[in-house]
Amino acid sequence: MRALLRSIIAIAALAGVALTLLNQVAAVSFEPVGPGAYVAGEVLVKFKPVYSAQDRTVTIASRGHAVHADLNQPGLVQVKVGGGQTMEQVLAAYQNDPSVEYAQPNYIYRTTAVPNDTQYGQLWAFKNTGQTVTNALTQPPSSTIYSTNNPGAPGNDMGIEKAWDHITDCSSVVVAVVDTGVKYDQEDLAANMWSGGPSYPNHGYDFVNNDNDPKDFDGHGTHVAGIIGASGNNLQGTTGVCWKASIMAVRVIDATGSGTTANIVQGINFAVSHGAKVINMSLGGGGGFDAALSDAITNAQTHDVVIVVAAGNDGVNNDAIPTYPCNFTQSNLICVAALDQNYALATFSNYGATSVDVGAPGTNILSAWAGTNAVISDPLTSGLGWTFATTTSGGWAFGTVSVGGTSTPSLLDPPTYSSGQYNNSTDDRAYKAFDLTGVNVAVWQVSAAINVVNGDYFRTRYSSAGGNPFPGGTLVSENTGVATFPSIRAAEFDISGCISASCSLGFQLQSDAALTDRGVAITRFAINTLTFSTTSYNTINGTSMATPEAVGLAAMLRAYNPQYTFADAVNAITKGGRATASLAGKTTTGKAIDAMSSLAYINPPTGLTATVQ
Amino acid sequence: MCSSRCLHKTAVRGLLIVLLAAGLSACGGGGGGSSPPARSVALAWEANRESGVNRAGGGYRVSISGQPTVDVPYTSGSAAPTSTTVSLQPGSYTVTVLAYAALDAQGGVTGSGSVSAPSQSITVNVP
Repeated sequence: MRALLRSIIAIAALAGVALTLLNQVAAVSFEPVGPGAYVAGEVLVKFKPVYSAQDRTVTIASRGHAVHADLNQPGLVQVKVGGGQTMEQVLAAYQNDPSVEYAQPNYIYRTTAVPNDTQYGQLWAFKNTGQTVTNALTQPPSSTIYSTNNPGAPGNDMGIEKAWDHITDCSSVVVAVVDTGVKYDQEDLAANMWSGGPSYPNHGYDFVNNDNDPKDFDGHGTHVAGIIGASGNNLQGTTGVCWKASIMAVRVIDATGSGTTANIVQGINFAVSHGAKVINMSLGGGGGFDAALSDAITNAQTHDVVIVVAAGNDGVNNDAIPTYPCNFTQSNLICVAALDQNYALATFSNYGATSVDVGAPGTNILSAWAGTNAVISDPLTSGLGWTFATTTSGGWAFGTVSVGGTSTPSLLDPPTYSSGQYNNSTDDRAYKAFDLTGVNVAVWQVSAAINVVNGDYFRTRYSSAGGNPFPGGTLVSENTGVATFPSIRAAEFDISGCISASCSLGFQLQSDAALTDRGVAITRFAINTLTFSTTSYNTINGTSMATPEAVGLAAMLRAYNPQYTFADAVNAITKGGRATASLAGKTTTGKAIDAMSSLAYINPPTGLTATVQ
Repeated sequence: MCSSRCLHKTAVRGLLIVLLAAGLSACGGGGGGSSPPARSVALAWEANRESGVNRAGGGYRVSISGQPTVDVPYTSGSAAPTSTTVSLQPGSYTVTVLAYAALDAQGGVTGSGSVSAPSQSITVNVP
C-alpha cells in the first residue's frame, strides 16, 4: 500500500513538474494541413528539448495515443493516434500544447518516375516545363517546327509522370500500329515489338507488298510506334507512353503515304485475329462513308478492341465535313484532335463537337524515325542534264507559269503553254538522270497542271539504267482526257525500283491527229529519299501524333486493369480526362487526355438487383 | 326494481363493459400495438473491373434512402464482395451503389481516393 502510494505520489510529482513547465510556455500556431498524401492514424510530434522521453510518453498517453517509434531525431516521435478524431483535430491538440515545437502528418513521399532517356527534356507532351522544342534532325522537309506557342506553359501535358509511379509496363496488351510499317530494329523500338512467332518473325505483316516484312518505307508509322512504346529509361532516345510495350507492325500505307480500304481492312482484321487489344490508325480521308472500313471496326468491337483514330489535319469541322474513320460512331472508337504546347487547338487540327472525342499533344512531337531524309529538287530553270526530243516542233521547254499569283519556273509542253496548244501527232519527251546511290527509298514528287484531250496521253516513266526511259522503262503514271488547269495537282510516286547511280525520270506527251488542248505545265520536280538508320528521330506535327498518345494510355489502362473491356478503357479515357478550354464545343468531351486521372477513374457499378427475402 | 345496491352493481358492470370495450378497441388494430417485422433484402451487383476496387482500400458503398450508407469493403481474395444483405422495414426505398478505390487522381493512395458515380438506382418495395 505504501509502495503504491509512493508510486502515485511520484507520478503526480512528475505530472506536476510537467504541468509547471506547460504553464510557463505559450502555445504556438502552425500552418493548417495542406493537400498531400499522409499515413492515416499517425502524426509526427516534435517536443521541445527540455521534455524528457518520459514527459513525451505521458503527454501522448494523456491524449489516448501511443508512441510508435522514436525517430532518432531529438524530440521527434512517431505517434499512433487511433480513431475517433480527424487529423486536423489531432494536430490542433498537439499544436496547442506548449511542450510541442511542431506537429505534422506523417507524409508519404513517392519516387517520381522520370525516365533517364537522353531526349526526355524535349517530350513536352509528357512533361511540359515550358521548354522550347527544336528540330530533332536537320533533315527536310525543313521548318517542321510548329512555332506557335513554342515554348508553351508548364503543366500543359498528359500528366503521365504520376501514372508512371504506378505502371510503366504495358507489354501484356498488344497494340497494333496500322500505318506505313515500323522500323522494328530502331534502337528505341527493337525491345518493344510484338513477338509474332515463326509465322511473323518481323513483328507484323505488310499488306502493301503482301509479305511478312512490315518495314517502314516512310517514317510515319515508326514515329507513331515510338510515341506509344519507345523503350523508356534506357539512357537513349525518347520514351513512349509505355516504357515497355508489345507493338504489332501492320503496314497498310505505302511509301507515298497512300493506302486503300482493302489494305486497311485486312490490316485491322489481322490485328484483331492476332490478339491486338488496341489499334492505332493515324490516317484519314477516303471518299466518304466507307462501309467496308466501318464493318472492320465493328468486327474489332465485337472482339473487344479499342480503336483510336486521328481527327485530321485540315483545320476543318468534321461535323460539317465528315472524315473517316473519325466520323464513324462505333463505341470502341476514339477520335483525337491535336493540341499545341499551350493546350490551344493546333491550327491544323480538325475538330467536331459530335465527332471528335478528346485532344492530346500534337505539335512538335519528337519520336523515332526510319532513317535520314533528303530531297533532290530540280529548279526547272535550266536544261542542264535534261534531254528533250520531239517528232514535230516545239515540245518540252522551260518557262514560267503563275502559281498562286507567283511566277513559277516550270517545264512546259508546248513552249507556248500560256497561249497555245500542243501539236497534233506529236511525241514529245523530256528526261534527266539522277544519282540515287545509297538510298533505300525514293519518292518522286511532281506537281503539274495537265490538259490533254481523250486519246492524247501524258505519261511518266523511269529507268534505273539511265538514258531514255521511253520506251522500255517502267510506266509510273498515264493520263488522258483530263483538264486540270488552272489547278495544279500534286502526285507522289514510289520509284524505289529506280535506285541506282543513274535513275532516269521522264515525261512524255503523245497526241493523235485529232483535237489538242493546252498541254502540261510541271511546276515542281523533287525526289524525296530515305536512307535507313536504326538511330534516327524526328520532330513532326499532326493529329497523327496525338492519336498514339491516347493509344498508349489505352494500353496502359488495360494493362493496369487486366479485366478491362474496351468500353471500360474508352470511358476511363473520355471521362477521366482534363477539361480544356480550347476543346470546349470542339469535342464531345471538352477534355484533353490525362493519364493519372484516367488511371484513377472508376466506372459506375452496373447490374444492381434486390431480392426481398 | 333495483335497490341502490342493485343500481351500484349495474353501474359497475356498465363501467367494466365500457372499460373492456375500450381495451379491446385499443388492441383491435386502430393504431398502437406491435409493428410488422423488418425483412431481409439481398442486394447484389456486377463486379467492377478496376483493380483498385478489388484490392486493399477498395470496395463498394450502398446508399439506401433514409438509411445509413452500407460499406462493403474488399477484404481478401481476388475481388471485393458484390453483395450485401440489409434489414428494412416495410416501405419503398431507392438504392444505388458506387465503387471506390484508394488511388486518387493525384497519384496518392492514402488520401480520399477515388469514387465512381453511383449506379443506376433501383426501387425496392418491402411489403
